[in-house]
Amino acid sequence: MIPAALREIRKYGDLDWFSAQMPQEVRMKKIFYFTLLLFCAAILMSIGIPMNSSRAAEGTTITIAYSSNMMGYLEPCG
Amino acid sequence: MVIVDSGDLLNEDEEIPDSVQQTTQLKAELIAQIYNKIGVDAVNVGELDLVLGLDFLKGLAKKQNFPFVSANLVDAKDQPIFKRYVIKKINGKNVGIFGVIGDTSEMTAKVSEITKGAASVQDPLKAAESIVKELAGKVDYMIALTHQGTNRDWVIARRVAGIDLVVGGHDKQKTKEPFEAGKTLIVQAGEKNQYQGMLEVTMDGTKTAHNTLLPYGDDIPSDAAVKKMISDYNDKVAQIYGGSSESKQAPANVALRLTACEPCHADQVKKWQTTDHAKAYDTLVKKSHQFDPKCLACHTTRFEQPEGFSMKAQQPELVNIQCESCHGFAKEHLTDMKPLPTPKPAVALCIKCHTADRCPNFERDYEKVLAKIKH
Repeated sequence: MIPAALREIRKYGDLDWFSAQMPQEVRMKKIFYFTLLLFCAAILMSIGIPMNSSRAAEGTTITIAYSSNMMGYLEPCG
Repeated sequence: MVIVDSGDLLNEDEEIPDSVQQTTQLKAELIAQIYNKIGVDAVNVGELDLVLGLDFLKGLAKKQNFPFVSANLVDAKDQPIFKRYVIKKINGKNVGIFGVIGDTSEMTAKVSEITKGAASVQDPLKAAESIVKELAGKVDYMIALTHQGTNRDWVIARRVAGIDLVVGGHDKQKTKEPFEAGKTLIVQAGEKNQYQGMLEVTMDGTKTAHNTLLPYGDDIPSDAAVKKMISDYNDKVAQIYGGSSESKQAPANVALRLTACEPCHADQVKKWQTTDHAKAYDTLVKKSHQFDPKCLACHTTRFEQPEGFSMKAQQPELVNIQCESCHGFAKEHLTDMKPLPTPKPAVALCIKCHTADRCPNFERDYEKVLAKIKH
């Protein structure tokens, strides 16, 4: 179904999207598949960016060592 | 690594007797030196730290590589006595660290009394807001070291936006899992050197964190340099009391005070000699703690009470937990056959030394442990 639709779009490839010579059905299919392409690209980018930023964040883990109420004890009490 | 402490580091007691003032200050200096060696980044000021004396603490602070911090402890002119905050750069990130102490009526009264009016406590919320505003845009992570109890930690976490982590103190909570007040985490590492808290924060947009509370125990290897520092401290303390920190048993030929009880209570004394109470002092000697007043308070008879074991006299006949430790001062019983103050001590007496942190199940297992010393 997709290859057939793409072949049909390619037939009218030289025409402007809103040209009167392009059948309405082909125009709608062109818009649909282009939108689908943009949508897939957006998903891939949204997955890609956090991966990239976590690669950049490697080495930006900070460790905080904390103690409380030691009260003069050099060893654990008990 | 960022290394911090939320306060009440140097001392346990609300009042320090004159007999142990010098050694308590010596220990505080030792702890500060150890913290220097560790490379601590900031220590908050708790009210028990002030008991050593405000001038002593200020002098101690000047000598260290790390700062004592407090954003709301002020002098008579309302000026901060200690540094309000520090910024540490680590792994390309700036971490802001500030300290506050609680401003309950009890705490403010205590601080004023301890410092004889030289210090007072301002509103910790306003102090925190002021610092967060001042450091906005300059730090990537903000740590508040608080000494006010967990209830008030929730308040500061919810009301002061911009704090990422509250390291609490004062009420001795142990947080295996941090409390979450919105985006702010609240942690506390128990008390008395029993735990080390470790929080790993991933500095991506989420600042997700993983917390561990590591129990300190014999499986943690000692640091040779710190061990030497402690040994030197033990030697100094021993010299103050005219002794040696070498592991030496109490002389075997010393007649303990309880020999006066023996003529009438021979069976009881014989039974006592088989119990751990009869070896209490030796356990200190084995660890070179025989001059530590914190330990001697429970491992000797009538510590710093009239005619009891004293730091100054170090009487060998009053070591171990003898009859008078549990049954009260026996002078009138020996001279005039008057009844003992506590012929049958209750658990309330025992838990003065067998505290929950030292003996977690003592009260639950009281009948069982009592059977070990019953005589």
